[in-house]
Amino acid sequence: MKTKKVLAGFTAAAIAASMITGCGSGAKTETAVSTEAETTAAEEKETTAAETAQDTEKRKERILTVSGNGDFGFPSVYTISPKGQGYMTLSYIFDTLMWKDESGLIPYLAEDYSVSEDGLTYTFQLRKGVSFTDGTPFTAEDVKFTFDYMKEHPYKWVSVSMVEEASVVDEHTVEIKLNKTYNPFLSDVAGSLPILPKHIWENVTEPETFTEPEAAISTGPFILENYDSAAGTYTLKANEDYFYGDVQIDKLVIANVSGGDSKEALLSGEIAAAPNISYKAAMSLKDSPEYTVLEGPGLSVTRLYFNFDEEAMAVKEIRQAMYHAVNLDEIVEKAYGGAGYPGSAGHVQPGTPWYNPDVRQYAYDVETAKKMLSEAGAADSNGDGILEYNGEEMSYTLTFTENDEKLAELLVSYMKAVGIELVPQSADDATVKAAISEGNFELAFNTNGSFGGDPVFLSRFATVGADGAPSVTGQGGTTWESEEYNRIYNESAVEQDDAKRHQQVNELQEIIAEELPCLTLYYKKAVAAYNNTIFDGFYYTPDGISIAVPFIMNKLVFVSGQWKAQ
Amino acid sequence: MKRGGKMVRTYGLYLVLILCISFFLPRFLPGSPLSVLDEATASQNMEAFPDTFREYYAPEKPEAVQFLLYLKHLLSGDLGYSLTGKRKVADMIGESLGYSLLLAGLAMTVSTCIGVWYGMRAGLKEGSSPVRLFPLILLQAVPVFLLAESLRLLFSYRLSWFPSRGAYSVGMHPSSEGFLLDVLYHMVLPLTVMILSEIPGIAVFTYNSTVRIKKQQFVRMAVYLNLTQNIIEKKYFFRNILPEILGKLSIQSISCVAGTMFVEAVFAYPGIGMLLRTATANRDYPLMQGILLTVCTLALVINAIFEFLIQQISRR
Amino acid sequence: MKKIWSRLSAVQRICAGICIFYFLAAAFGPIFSPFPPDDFSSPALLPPGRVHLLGTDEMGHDIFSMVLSGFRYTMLFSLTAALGSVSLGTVLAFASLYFPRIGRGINHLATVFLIIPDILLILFVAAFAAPTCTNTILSMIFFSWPRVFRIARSRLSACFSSNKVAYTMLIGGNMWDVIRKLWHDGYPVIGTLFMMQASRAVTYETTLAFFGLGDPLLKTWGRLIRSALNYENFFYDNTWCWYLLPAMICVVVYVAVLSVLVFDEGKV
Repeated sequence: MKTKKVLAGFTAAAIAASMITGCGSGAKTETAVSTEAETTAAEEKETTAAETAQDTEKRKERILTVSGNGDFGFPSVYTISPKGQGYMTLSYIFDTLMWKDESGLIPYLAEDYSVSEDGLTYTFQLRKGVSFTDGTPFTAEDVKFTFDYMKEHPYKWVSVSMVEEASVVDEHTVEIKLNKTYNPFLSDVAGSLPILPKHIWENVTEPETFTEPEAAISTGPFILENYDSAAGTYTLKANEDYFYGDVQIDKLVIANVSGGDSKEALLSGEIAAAPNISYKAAMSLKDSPEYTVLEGPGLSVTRLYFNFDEEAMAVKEIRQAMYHAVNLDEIVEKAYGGAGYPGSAGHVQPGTPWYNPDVRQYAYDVETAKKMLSEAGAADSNGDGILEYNGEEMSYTLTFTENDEKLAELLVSYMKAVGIELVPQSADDATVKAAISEGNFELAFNTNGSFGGDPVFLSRFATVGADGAPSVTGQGGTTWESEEYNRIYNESAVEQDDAKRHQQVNELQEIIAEELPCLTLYYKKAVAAYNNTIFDGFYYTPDGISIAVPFIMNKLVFVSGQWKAQ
Repeated sequence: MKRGGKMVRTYGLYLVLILCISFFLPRFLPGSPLSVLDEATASQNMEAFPDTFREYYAPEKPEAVQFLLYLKHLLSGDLGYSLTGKRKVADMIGESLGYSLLLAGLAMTVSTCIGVWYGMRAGLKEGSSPVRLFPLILLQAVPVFLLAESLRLLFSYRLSWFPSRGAYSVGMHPSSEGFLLDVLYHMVLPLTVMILSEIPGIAVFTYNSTVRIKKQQFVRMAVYLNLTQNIIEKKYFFRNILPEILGKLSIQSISCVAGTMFVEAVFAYPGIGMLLRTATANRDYPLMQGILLTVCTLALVINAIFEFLIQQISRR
Repeated sequence: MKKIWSRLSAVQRICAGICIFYFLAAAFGPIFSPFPPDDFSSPALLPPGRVHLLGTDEMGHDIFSMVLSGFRYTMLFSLTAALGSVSLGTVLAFASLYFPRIGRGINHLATVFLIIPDILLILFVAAFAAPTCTNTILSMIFFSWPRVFRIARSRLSACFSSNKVAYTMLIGGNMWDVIRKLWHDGYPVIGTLFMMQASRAVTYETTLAFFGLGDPLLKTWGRLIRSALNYENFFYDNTWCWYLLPAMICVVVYVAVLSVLVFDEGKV
């Protein structure tokens, strides 16, 4: 039948076409790196084959596959996502002057350092004999170049605005002059800035689109072998001449396995480590001997923002009453399934080195909250269950990210119990963050990370900098202001004496706890699980890697850990 | 020939309409950064977007210029830069489209064969009552993503017969050995879900068409009863219902494409559906718009092909 | 009313009965609800028991109460969306026939919207517009009228060419007379269309909720299904039996029942 043949032919052609495009499009995603790597791998295979012919031992390739959150950009400094996992992957390829391990800050590319008395000049003695993976030796020129380049092309994760000048003293010595004292310079800048090889980057004028293979060359423990953007997979090959030590695996594969699927992938053996596993899934693996579950501070904080344009919000007692109305423990349990800790009024997380245990806390007490509200002048005159303050109904929109609906529901309910109405308004995270930074909200809550390490993050409540200029806080609109806070904060930012600084930071926390510029609600817990029969030795770096990134796969793990599988 | 010309003109008009929709929709939605209804907030939100976004959309220019600019970009295949992926939208869609077409194409083919066969058989049976169709109606009532999750639960997690996610295993890429087999293995579940969700529509429609013809041709049926029937009957029926079936398939293909997107979202299958899911979650406007335009154009093309086929067949 | 009932087959009568049950559950269900659906004071993740017939979710909401409240939202969504799209579609269908010149234009517009997968457009709009109930319903109406339009138009055009109407128009009757004549033949189609749209609206809502769009604090079945699917141990324990299944069954039965009612054998 002609029609049938036409149909059959058509469908066959359609299948064939789609199969070809399907397989073809998969192949298209590989970057040029893979062909290079394949030819070098082929060469390597030849030499290794010759070697193993002589060797009695035959070693299988040690490939470590871990879960990642999909495609977060080409692994170069300006193209990878600046957030947590992006930075971690970048650190496998790029090294920094200082780094952190289990004990704390350690010298890395810089062998030694000294700080001038006034705290404005840092001199780094660089390690000798280190070279980039393309063979070029690493010198002080590269360090100077990196600082200069980043001044011209700001790097999203780390700002170098406090650097006045970087100068080369000799081939392995570099001097960095700051324009103001900056306490976290060593940990946050020297410990985070990836060093760019000068000979590759000196002619790059548009770093955001620089995705050539050379963009991923540096001194790090791994070399980029393949970046499959469609599948969200990164394949890294070990750098056999790594200066810090022997890399204990041959290949690292970061595969696109989301948090919800990572437990299953771990159990089926598809991945060896799941740093993004969800809390309950990790807890369910706790009792298995072949899986190790690690818990650590999540270095992130969730807080409720006030817009001080609202009359009632500007009244301290009302804010305090609202804090009493919130059940912080229930939030941890109900909204987050126990995967975190209740907030502290002083903002700094309990259990961290800078925490002040003597700050005022606000116990969950609805009656006290109601009393404080009525004492402040809020009363329900028309009997509709909502308080009025100065003639205005205490009804506010609550802006929040759509995935946080559990916390939103809790807050709406808590406030309703004391007579404040919250109208929930959800949006995607980027919109919420933008709204907060512009002051386009009445009440909002949001989570932000990088919450740990040096208490420089307390600058978010300071409105005026040391030079008298208004400082940028994360929040727009009318914010809370306190001259005393600004004064103490600006002093602490330049204070060299540790004991004195501790005292200043304690005072800051007391002010925060008393004034409540925001309500600190919740600190997230970080959790990860891995198969210890394949590779062991992961740990959570205290205070996080770089600027408070909680991740078990500090690149040092690949040098200090052990490959267990046969 | 005239008919062909008319068809070309009509589809040309449709294409223009789709382009207009794709252009105007983000501009009339409140909350969109390109919104013309609330320009103040829109331009404020614009600050957060990278230069590539502003260059592509040129919001400061008058609407007519923007539209022409948009058309110009489209002609050169430029769909803008994705905010999340930081790559060209056209590239991202191009890489994913193949997998979606693969899944949708195979699903459509298999479900058509099974659906038409089953529908006709059910329709031709003596004293046919629609009761035998109820399981199909029930199946059709299940939203496709729920069907996907249920099958995933049963076959991937409880029985461990099939992988639960992805188009191929972690670490594999097209040059690895056994890649094709791996892809097929990973495709079984998503394909099954798609087939199950498409069969009911086609089968029920075929049943109704067959019954309609049967009712009309009741008298003729008596004559046919004397001959060795089945094949002749089926050929006769098939030829008569074919144009209608093609019409239904045309619409069904579109819903198949839409359904594929949801199945991909569930199985983390790297097609357009996955892109859409991440784009929606992050409000990646250029990517969403690109996907919308691509799928709409695809739908138009599919529709045109089917209409052409119907014309060819009806003409005999 | 009696005429309609007698025209239905036995199975269809059962389905109609189920529909009525849904309606009653929407109207009176919350009276039987042991807890307010947004009450989370109970312990989390309890299995079914005497106090909580279907157990509780991760926050402590009583699942049975949430399922009951879902009836209300479902009815709200499906009835308003159906009403809106059927009205819009029918009016446009009538206009396109009564004023044939703009009729062709509307027809083309409707065809384009029929070619495009409507769920995609709804998703697009839901992603950008503020996530409220009203916006969701409005977008459903706006994108599903073409289907109504198409069917209404084909049915009405048959009526238009009938003698009755032609005669009315001939003697110079105005628009309202024509409408009255059409109504007599046309209203069964409207009923069918209404049910068809009602079932589609529920599927849309469920799909939108799955993508995380729509009002996040409203306890609809779509949201319940989404929560159930997002439950961390969904694949590993049996919680889905009482967390996912009830809402899923409610949705599936509703859509299936409406499809059966709309099903007309031999009518394509």
